[in-house]
Amino acid sequence: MNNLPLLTENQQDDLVFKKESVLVETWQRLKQNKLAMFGLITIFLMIVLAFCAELITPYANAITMNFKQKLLLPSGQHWFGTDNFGRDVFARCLYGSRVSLAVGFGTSIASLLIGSVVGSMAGFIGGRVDNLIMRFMDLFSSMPAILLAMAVVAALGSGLVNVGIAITIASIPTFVRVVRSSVLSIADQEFIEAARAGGTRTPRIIFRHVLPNAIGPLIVQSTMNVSQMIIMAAVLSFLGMGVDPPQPEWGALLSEAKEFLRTAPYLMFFPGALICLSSFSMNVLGDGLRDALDPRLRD
Amino acid sequence: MEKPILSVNNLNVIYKTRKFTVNAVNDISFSLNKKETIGIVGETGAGKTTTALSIMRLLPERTGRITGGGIHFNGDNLLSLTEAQMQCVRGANIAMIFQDPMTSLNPVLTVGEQISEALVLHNTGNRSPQQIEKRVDEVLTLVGISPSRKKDYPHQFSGGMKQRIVIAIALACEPSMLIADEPTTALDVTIQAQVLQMIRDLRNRLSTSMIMITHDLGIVAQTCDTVAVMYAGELIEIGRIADIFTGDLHHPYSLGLFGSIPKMREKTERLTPIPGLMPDPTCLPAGCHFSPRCPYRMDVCNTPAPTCKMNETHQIRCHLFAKESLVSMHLPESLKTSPALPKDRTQESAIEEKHEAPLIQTLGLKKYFRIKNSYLHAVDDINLSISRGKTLGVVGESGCGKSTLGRVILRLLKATAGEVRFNGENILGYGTQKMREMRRKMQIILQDPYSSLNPRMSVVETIAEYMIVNKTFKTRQEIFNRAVKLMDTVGLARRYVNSYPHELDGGRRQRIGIARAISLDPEFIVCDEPVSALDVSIQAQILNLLMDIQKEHELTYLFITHDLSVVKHISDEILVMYLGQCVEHAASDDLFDSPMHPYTKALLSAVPEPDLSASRREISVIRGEITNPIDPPVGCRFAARCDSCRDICRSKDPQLVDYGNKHYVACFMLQNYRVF
Repeated sequence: MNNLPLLTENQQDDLVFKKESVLVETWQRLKQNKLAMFGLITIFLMIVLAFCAELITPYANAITMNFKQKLLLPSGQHWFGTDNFGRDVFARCLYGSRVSLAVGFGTSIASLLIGSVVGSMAGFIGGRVDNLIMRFMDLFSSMPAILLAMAVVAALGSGLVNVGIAITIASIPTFVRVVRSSVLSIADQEFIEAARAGGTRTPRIIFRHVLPNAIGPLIVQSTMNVSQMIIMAAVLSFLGMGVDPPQPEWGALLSEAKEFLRTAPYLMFFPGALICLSSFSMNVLGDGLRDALDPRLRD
Repeated sequence: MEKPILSVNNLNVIYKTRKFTVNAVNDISFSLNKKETIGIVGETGAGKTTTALSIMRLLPERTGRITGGGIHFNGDNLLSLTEAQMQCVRGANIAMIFQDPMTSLNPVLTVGEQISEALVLHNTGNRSPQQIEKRVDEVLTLVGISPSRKKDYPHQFSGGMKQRIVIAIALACEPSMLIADEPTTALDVTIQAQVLQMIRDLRNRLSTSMIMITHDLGIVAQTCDTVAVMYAGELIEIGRIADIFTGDLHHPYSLGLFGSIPKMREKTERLTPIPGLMPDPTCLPAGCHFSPRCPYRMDVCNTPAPTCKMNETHQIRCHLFAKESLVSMHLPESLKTSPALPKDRTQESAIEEKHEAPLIQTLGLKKYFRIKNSYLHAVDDINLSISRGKTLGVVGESGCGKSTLGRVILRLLKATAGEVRFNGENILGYGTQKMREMRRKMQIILQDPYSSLNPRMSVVETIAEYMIVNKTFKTRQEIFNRAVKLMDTVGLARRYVNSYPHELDGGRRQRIGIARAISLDPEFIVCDEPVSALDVSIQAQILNLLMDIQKEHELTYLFITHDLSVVKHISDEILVMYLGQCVEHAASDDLFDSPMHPYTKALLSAVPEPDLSASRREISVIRGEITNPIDPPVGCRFAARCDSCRDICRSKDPQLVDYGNKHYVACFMLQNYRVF
């Protein structure tokens, strides 16, 4: 680590504040991680395709039924084949990615933000606040997540936004637990005490000193959360509480395809592969990000 | 000549990882006779533990490798044994005591089971289960633990007791050689004295040979017959203790090591640290590894240093002592006396002593922690005052409440009762806003240079943080410029501005902590064990820095430490704490010259000194261990461990009484003999 020659110890080198922003520095390090870059590019492509879906194929292809062409194998015309209503599966996957990605990312980011604020309050302030927050979280996690989400949707009414709110609420307790446990171990360290001794206010201590050090497990948790949320949204729409039937969505595609598992397995393969690919990409990207953000792993 | 029990010849050990090869031990040779004790001294990274692990053949399997040399034990070459044969040697013939008793015992087995485990495995005397039980009782008695406690689990024992159990396990099979790797480093000084005395007794009674690995020259002087000094994987000096501690000829590094230690018996104004750091073992300097730090560096030092025989037993690996160089010319006499002192501190203090109002004062300060339905009396009625520019040292064993005291004074912990006055004003009554202003004037330097810095902030960000929070300057550039000036002040090279803490060693990290503490121009700093995590040569650098800064900025220190030689070196006055209370408070010299409280006396005599004349004297080892400060009973808290304790000590609380010259002691024994 310290292989700089001793004799230059007192040399007055010219001062260069390479005060690059954290973002630039993180990007430099992330670039060197090939797997993470693969994940980043895949996710990026998926998002671009979801945005430009109209340029590739009209929405009508995804919802118009055509019984003459039902259950066709993948071909030049229908890349992913057609389903039992004769709809083009590629178009359905493409438009479905809008809903799935939006739900996956949106809810993960929301629960990340809420979870880290609530969790760090619980861990850092402790005492009664901690007890109150954690018992509340216990209450949430004592019900099955899907039941909780259903209850929320039932209360708020169905629809994409409400589904998002429902599954965000269901996933917050995990985030709170993850954040709280890492905050507890960080709050014990002496640099927190040093910050207090310098007159730093609690919010700054949390955002400047505690959370940056808790970011590793948080990133891992949120990237794993993305794929779980996609499935969760699918389950809700399967139960008739999510997106309305003709509108495509990866999870919904999966549940529609399950009846044809024997006769037309490709129906399940493509949306399944997309869910796998997106969650794999998110996970490798998350691992890469965690390492890139940690100055201790810098060379 | 008698045949040595262990001889190590030209041992070379490397650690090989994907990226680097570390030459951890380079070409070292020594031998150990029956009943003899050899001390291996050196700083972190010198290769002491690696040497021990090589003898046990316990190097980490994937990375550590012995690349050359031989280790002969009782005539057998240990390096040629198979792993199965080696397992018979370990524990039965060579046993090892590890540094940390907290982690070297298995928490889910009773101590009796752990001792009998070794006996069952090696079962040398074909003992029956009953005989094994009997042997367990024997060894427990040997280390001073009642056999009735063998059914207890490790967590039911204190640190010192645990280390005794570790020693009992090591001795269970009557090994002919014992390797002790820093056996007392994790223990308090009075407990250390108990354990060291026990190790010495047992060694003499069982005539075991021993390798004592330590960084403490005092322990070496007390326990060893031969001393080997290691530096960067090389054995640079070896000799009988008389050669090392009283001889005139020494390796420059050994001299530096001695110069870095604050002396208990004499007043040194400034320590003479060794400049620089131990070299990175992945790229050692060519030739003599010490040459870049050596004040007697010559051109020839680029080539490997020869081993020079000074007499039958004393060898030094240095060019200075090679035949062709003129020994007398280079004799490093100058290192023995420290450089010219700027000013005599005692005189200075005599002049300006007259009735200055104290900067910091506490009145009846108490801090109780609530534990279930009882209270832990961490700080119990402490009254102290420190004048501007002075240093008050607070000493005591772990658990005596000294760190809590520092934090309560800074209001990092809420006081239970009492007042803390800063310039005469009680700061405990301040509101949040006023306290925030106040924090600028009082700062803290923390103990652990590894956890006291935010790992995600660069050096300059860490130093600038307080100034940003307190909006000391208008622009960020001004703040950063000031941060860089502070780096100059604390002797941190400017090229580290953008480094992160993990890239720096302990000494440099501690300098960052100091720069941060002085960044708001405080008047008062609590130094909470600022040097206890550092190697001696680095410790000396940091102590000098603290004293320089104090002089320059007229700072007032509350210096908390468990190390008596350090506290004597830096303090004007000393407060000795025991279980949350002050037992003795006096000027530094008075306290060391004429300690009055039995606890202070015991503490002072427990410190092993790197001095032969003092070392063999009979040490009055204090009984027992610091007790639990939860709801302490009435009476003197030290009574349970005190030899001169009488009835009154258990029924009334002793008060601090001035015995002249502001020497306060809380002890009934003295009050009776007091001359009016």
